Amino acid sequence: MEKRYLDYIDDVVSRIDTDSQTKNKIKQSLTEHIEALIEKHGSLAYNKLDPVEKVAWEFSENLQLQDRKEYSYPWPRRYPVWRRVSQKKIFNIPLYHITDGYNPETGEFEIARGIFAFGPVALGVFTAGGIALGVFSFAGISAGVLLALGGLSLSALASLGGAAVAGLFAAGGMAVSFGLSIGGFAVGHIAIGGEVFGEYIYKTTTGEGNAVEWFRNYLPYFVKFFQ
Amino acid sequence: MITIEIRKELKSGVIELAILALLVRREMYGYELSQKILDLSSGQIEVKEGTLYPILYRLEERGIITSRWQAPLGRGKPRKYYYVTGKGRQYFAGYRKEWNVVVEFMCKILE
Repeated sequence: MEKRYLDYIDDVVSRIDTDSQTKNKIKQSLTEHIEALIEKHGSLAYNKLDPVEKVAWEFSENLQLQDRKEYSYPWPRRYPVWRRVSQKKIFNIPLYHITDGYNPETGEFEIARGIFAFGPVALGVFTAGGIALGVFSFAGISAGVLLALGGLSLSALASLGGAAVAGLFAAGGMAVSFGLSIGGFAVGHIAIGGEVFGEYIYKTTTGEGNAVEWFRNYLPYFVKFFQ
Repeated sequence: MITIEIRKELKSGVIELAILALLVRREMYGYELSQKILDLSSGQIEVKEGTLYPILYRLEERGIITSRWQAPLGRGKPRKYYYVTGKGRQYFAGYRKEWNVVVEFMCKILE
């Protein structure tokens, strides 16, 4: 079978949110159906195919996937549902998992779990979404082992956000860390900002503080930023 | 010939019965079923793959039909032929009776 037909089938199947067993069944049926179409119409068979979206929609409707979504989802749905899960796994974790929070197989809310995880709630290595927990996290509320960015961010190493709490470096409207904190309100071993609390501080409003001394001793390159 | 779109409410029951009626006579593969329905309706009812296969999946899951792969004589790819089981024949007989009652009623009411 020509590549364009295989691509067509893959495209249709990828738009139907169902389990992998049903997807394989649909793929098999479509392959057989299109082969019969090719036998009858030759090279004109491709023109006889309906648009991918229409075929996918019809399968979804007749497999009653649409009804299930409308019934079980807490707010109105649009089609197609955003859900992609990689078949490729690393340490039994999908390479990527993207979801809008709805699992059409179970009809329930789902958490995105993957090396790359994106969703209303995401858990993984590189995570993004509403609430994200990972090694590197970007979200409204984010917790990252190494880096967290977001409205409220928490990290062992570095956090940036409206309110940032970190082990080593925090920057944001409110920044709290055991190391360097920079922000409107900063608390840290070294605190730089409007309102500052720490062992070494620098008030940006008045230019006062002993943090400059610390930088002069340990990181002289940065002293110029205080002048 | 212009094909008509059958609304969802009608489609699930009518097409299922049509498929069963055809399969009771002899085994057929998916594309063949859709072509047969198109021919018998004088080109007015086209059962698309997105409708046909989910019905076949459901009937097969319920044990009303079953299938087997068969290669055609000569050239050509193997095809999945569907046929009605013993349970399916009973189901079809009951369905057909219901259908006759409904049709009789609808004919009266729509006159």
